[in-house]
Amino acid sequence: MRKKAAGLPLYIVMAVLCTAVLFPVILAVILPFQAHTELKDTLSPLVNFTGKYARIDLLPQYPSAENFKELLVYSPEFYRVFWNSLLMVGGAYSFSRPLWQCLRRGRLQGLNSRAGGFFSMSM
Amino acid sequence: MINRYAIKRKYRYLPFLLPSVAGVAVFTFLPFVDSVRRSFCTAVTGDLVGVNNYKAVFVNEAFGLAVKNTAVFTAVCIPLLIGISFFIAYGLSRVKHIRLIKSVLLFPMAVPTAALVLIWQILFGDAGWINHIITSHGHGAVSFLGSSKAFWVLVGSYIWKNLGYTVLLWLTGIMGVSTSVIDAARVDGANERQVLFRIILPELKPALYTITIISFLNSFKVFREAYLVAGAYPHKSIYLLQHLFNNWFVNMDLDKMAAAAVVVFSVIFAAAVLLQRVWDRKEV
Repeated sequence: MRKKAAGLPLYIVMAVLCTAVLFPVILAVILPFQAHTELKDTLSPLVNFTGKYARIDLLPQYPSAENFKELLVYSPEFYRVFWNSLLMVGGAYSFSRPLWQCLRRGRLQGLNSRAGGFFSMSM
Repeated sequence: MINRYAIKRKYRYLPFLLPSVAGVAVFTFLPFVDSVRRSFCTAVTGDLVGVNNYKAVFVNEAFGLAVKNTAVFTAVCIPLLIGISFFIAYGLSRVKHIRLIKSVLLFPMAVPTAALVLIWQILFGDAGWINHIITSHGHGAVSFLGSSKAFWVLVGSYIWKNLGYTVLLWLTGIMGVSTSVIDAARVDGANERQVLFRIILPELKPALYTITIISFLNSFKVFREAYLVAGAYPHKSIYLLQHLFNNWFVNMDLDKMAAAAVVVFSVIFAAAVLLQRVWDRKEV
């Protein structure tokens, strides 16, 4: 389909949408860079409510990599779950790649939709 | 000689198909066949009890509640997701640099559920950030996860997570609509609305079928968020079928679980077949 020039309102709508979609992702990226003391100060009401509500510092007051150090240096169990996850992804990929190749080349000659149904039911 | 070559060429795809078919058979279909067998037996001794397990499932109140909630969730989420994602995809198809927006919309899929659940707790928890904003404006705090509002939090979570993928599927369909047909319609005097309803939408029927099935199957995956945010016994508005299965599994009610699994599979399978039939008829 040929594109027609979009007006400013459409760009504004898209910008608002992208901000809304990205907000939780940005939070997930920002929080690990906050120091332990800062996280304790802002998020402790979630665990122990004393009348104060949780806050979010969108900019870390003391940017720190101590959480990453804790995870990568002092948590050996992280590597176990990480490699287990990677192994699962590799296994799933090695099973699905030939199928993708097969469906892509259209070798099933009319069986594509039935094959799609077969695999989607297994989801 | 030619014949043998033709046959060999015709079935050359089989070795490619085999690993996936074998994987699905071993990890999905054989266990399901075993579940069908177990649904007619007792959990401990394995004695045949006929349809008693099915009767027990149908009179179970928790099963009724879980079926109702799952059905309502599906009925609300799928039309919402399909509608919203279509309008976004249609809008996106008119924007010049869409690659960046497409990538942004796909970000939620890359966020692990465990991290996401922490964010939902921070935002929607009883002592969470949204309540911080509400109370700082002089209003009373709202229990988002402990009241019927939990349902809408779950709906929002589902739409947020699946929006990018669905937009991408719509976009692929929209971009595939022939330019010459649209140009010809415009030359004949068709306006934007007529082009959308008479040309683009009818062309997108196959995409709609795929999107509906994928959205339907993905709607069952929202259990992970519901379970991690609100636990095994959440507010009754978000008590889904998977909560019930999980609790039956913990209590070793494997017979009831097997019977319910067969019932649920039959309903999903019937819905998928019905949808495809309706589709095929429309295509003719």
